[in-house]
Amino acid sequence: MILKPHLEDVQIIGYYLGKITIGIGLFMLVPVICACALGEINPLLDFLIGIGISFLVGFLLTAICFTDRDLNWMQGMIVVSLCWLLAMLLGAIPLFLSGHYRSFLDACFETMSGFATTGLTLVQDLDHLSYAHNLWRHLIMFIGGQGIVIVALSLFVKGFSGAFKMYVGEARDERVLPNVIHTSRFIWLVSVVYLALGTLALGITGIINGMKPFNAFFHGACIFMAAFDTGGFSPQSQNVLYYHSFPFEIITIIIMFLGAINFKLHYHLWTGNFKELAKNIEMRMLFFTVTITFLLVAIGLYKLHTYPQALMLFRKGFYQLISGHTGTGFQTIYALQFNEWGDLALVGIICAMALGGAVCSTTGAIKMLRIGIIFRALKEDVKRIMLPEKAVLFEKFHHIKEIFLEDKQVRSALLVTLCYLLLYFIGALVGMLCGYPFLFSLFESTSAAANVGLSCGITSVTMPAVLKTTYILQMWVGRLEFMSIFTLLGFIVAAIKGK
Amino acid sequence: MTQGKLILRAATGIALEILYAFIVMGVALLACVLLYLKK
Repeated sequence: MILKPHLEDVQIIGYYLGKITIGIGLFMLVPVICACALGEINPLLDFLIGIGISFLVGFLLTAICFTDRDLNWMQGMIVVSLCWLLAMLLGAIPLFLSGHYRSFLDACFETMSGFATTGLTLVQDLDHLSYAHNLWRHLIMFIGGQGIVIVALSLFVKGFSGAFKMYVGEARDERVLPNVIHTSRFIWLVSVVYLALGTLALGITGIINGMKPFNAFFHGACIFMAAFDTGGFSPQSQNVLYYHSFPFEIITIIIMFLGAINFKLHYHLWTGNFKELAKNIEMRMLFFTVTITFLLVAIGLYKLHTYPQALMLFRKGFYQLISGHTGTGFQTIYALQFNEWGDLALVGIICAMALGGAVCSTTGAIKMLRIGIIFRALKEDVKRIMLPEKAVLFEKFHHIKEIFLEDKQVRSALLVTLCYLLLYFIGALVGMLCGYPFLFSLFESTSAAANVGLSCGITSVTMPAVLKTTYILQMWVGRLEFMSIFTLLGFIVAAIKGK
Repeated sequence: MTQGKLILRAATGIALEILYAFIVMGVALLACVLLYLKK
């Protein structure tokens, strides 16, 4: 028997949604300050309208649904899944008002792509977009990378036990520190330290390359936010290709790697546990999968003579691969140039995108810990077949500490992997129904669902609305890693069928 | 532990993370060079 949800459940969900909505409105103050400083009057009005609507929705929800009760697991999960949709709708308002989007759906696509740190874009005439709107595009990526709820937790909430439920709902199943609020603040510390270092490095490189100092540091900050949060937006329509700079590419590769590392590992490395880098199963798997998938790409490109020199192969092949593997989506080639890559190289990139970076990082996709666990389980099964029946077998892996492999870990890793594979293929199927070839449909679908952002040319303002909607849903489901979405679906079913 | 030591540890951690990225890049570059040397 399914139990019908109580009105109290809706009230608690509404109250916390309202709180987070106010938080989103407050974040719009950053582009407002930018617009004021640079004298951008029209963008200023766009953001004031956005803030007004966010505050109206937020205060109405908190007033109507006021409660002093804490969240339970189901409510926490539902708040997370709904707050991402609400954030998309509210964040899209100033972007739509900019006039650079053909429809509100396109603006929603852009906002979900930003919050989910995907990087697929439908903006028109990006090179003439205002600084304030451009900053907002990158800021939503930064907020989404940390997790919308993480941001709200660390800045606007003093502490409550429901915090951990929302933290888990946002696909962050590891706590760096015992207290979830301290964990979210540490995530902010790492991000801000790297923001300063990365912006400085990219800004100086920009100045050396001939950019004006203001532009160099503005671009540096935007590119850093997009790289560290493995997002992939860029202030220019040509993406990273715009900079035509090898040092710029090297710095962004390093930042993409840093973004793909587990925040828990950052903590251990920053506090003196240096050996963890070599022993950690995720870092070992990342090295292994990057090498294997790059070999596929390199051999594929070499056979087709796509690039005439080794350095070109590295700059084009390896860059797109790391961008795909870490879930960033920066490109140093035009989208349609993937046509010249051939099937083998495309399969290599698709595999890299499907795998992703570390858990509790800003990347999406299946992730290295799960791949590592599946490999270990496979190894254990092979051993079981080869050893005598009475032999006692146990497999362990190193992730911060030595962990014995248990069936429930394997089951969970396999279930999430299966869900991701299904999600990739559903998107590919919709792409094919819209008339695109299989490999390209799979490429774009994997890119959306794994929150990568590489595009082989399908994502454009002219693609069918059904495909835009499919990609929005894939980005949302892929970023939240299924559990909170399934809980929301269960809640809806219970509300309809429950007794 | 003094503030200086804490900062030094964090800086070493950051340096190691960057070193890891350089090692992966180095392996990839080596693979590219070897592939073209074969020709």
